[in-house]
Amino acid sequence: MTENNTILSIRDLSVRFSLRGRVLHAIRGLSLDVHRGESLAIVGESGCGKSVLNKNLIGLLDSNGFIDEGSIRYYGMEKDESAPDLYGQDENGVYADLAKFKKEKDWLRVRGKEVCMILQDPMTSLNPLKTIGAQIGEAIRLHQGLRGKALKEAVLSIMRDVRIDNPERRYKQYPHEFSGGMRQRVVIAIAIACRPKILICDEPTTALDVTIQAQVLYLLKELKKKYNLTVIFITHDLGVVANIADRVAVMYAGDIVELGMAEEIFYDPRHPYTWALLSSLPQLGVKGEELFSIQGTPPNLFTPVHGDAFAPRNPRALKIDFVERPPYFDVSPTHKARTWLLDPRAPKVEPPKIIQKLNSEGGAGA
Amino acid sequence: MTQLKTEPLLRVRDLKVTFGSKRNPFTAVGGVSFDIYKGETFGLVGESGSGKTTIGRAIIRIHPTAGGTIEFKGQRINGKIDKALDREITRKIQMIFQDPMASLNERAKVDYIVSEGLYNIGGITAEQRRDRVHKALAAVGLLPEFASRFPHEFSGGQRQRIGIARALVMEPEFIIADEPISALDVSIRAQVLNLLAKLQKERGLTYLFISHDLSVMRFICDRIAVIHKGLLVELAECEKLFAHPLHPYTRALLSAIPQPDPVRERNKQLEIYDPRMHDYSVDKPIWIELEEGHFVLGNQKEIGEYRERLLR
Repeated sequence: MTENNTILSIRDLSVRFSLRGRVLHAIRGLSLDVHRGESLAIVGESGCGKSVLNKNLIGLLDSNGFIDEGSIRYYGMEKDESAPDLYGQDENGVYADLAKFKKEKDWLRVRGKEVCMILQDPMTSLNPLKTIGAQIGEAIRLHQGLRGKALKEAVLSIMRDVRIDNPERRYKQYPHEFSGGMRQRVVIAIAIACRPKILICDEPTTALDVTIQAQVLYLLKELKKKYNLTVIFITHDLGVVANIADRVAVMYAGDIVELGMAEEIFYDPRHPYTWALLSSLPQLGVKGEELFSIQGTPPNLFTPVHGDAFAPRNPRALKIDFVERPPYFDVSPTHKARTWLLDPRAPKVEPPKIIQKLNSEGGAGA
Repeated sequence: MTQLKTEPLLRVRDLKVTFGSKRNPFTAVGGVSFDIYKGETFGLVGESGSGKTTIGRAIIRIHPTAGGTIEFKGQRINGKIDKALDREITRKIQMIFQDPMASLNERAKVDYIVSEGLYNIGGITAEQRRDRVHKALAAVGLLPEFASRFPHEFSGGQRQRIGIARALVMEPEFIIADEPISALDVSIRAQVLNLLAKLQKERGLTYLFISHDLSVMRFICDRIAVIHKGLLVELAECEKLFAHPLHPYTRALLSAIPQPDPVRERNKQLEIYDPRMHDYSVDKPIWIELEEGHFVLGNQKEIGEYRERLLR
């Protein structure tokens, strides 16, 4: 992948929260590039910082949180002359440094037009007092400036795009008249109506049934193609990731521990945390045997983390894991992992059996 | 009916549950029949609104039934029953709820939450009560000193363990687990599933496991019943169901399971179930056993197709 394909480049990002006089280090020096037109999945347990990371991209960080280091360069916006210090230029072109955005006025240029977000629970993200048509229309009116009949036509066409049956009747209905899956489609319609370049989906299917989940995922893939979207997908369900992602980033304790193409992460995972996540899937469990489960809890981020954050929960951790934070080791040009196991000096540690099984099955399938 | 294991612990026959007024009732469960054998894990799978939770709640006497019978160890437990039996049922059938964040009383200490049921049956001294709470907490892998804490001090997985301890303290024989893991994180899911399996082995518990996720079901259940719009459409032993899913709704559910395998996932053909595909205007569907222990709902024409599929 060439460099000018990058739409978003996060460099050494560090986010902290001040909480009751203490400081929580939520994102610990994270770097990530997002390519134009790809779908990237960010996987991790709750509390690993995946939502906090994405809230930075849209300016929704809670008021007690702040970025104290790093940059988020977004390539895709034109320079706003009234605030020149927010913008810059590098080898990839003109960028806006989202880490420096503070004022609501600046964020208004980003939200919706450039980056849009779909939240987990469709019931809480819709206004129960307004009709569906009015809520989708609001986004179109603000971003495309349509009025009257043209506005209604645009709303109906976008409702057809997200496969809501009988849009003329549904237009006048309220959120409570919709099922969970249909509500999520409405939320997606609102997001798409803004014509964003990046669509962030924060656990969009967790509240949905398996069959509905499959349909919503299919819809998202379809829309991604049609509208040329870059999709960032946040989830803790690795099954969903396999379905939708081109690339996967595994997050743990505010840092990306492994990053690679979907095939690389599923068939050739290298970080012990990725192993553990994959092994705990009931899909891979053998009936009657105990399912693998990760012992312990994620580290307390109020206190500084020494070494590899996952080491205390990793039964096969090396000594150095407790002392020094591992750098990224490249497995292939697209695959890197933050674990000392990849160091040439490290002893050879075999991944768990269950992973090897997945590996051989995947090889046969491919 | 073939006897797979022993006597059924729970026998449900033609169960109907309706909501709303008498004049304008809404049928949530429209006549389902199944047996649950002692010591097994029986799965009930279906989408939201299919009536799976309603069945669970009807068994534990939260919802009144509109028709049919529920028998627990040969005794009828739905409708009007005498007080002594009612008490016994409340003790022997317990429930684990979906959301551990919502199902624990925020203002009570763990000690009270776990032992609330014991207060109701009476005849237990304070010391016995404390002893049983500690035992129940230990059984789910929590420390006895947690008893003096409040629910907000615990993580999601720990809270679900408290929910399980609350069920265990009554020493039940039958536990209804209503989506016990769908609100939990992947890594904690595995812990709770292991715990449920361990408790079953140690105490010979029988579970009714309600969920919409067939991948979890395959791992934990012995037999699975698929429910759609208040009617069972298929019932079989777990492996038979996965090997030969007959009803189109079951096939749609199976095809929707997300697999952790990107190549297979990308080439997957999603089956979508449309209830309008059944023409039941003349030929009424019946509930029939096509192979040993494998039941399916269909009319004569469909049953012919299902038989062919079974031979393939």
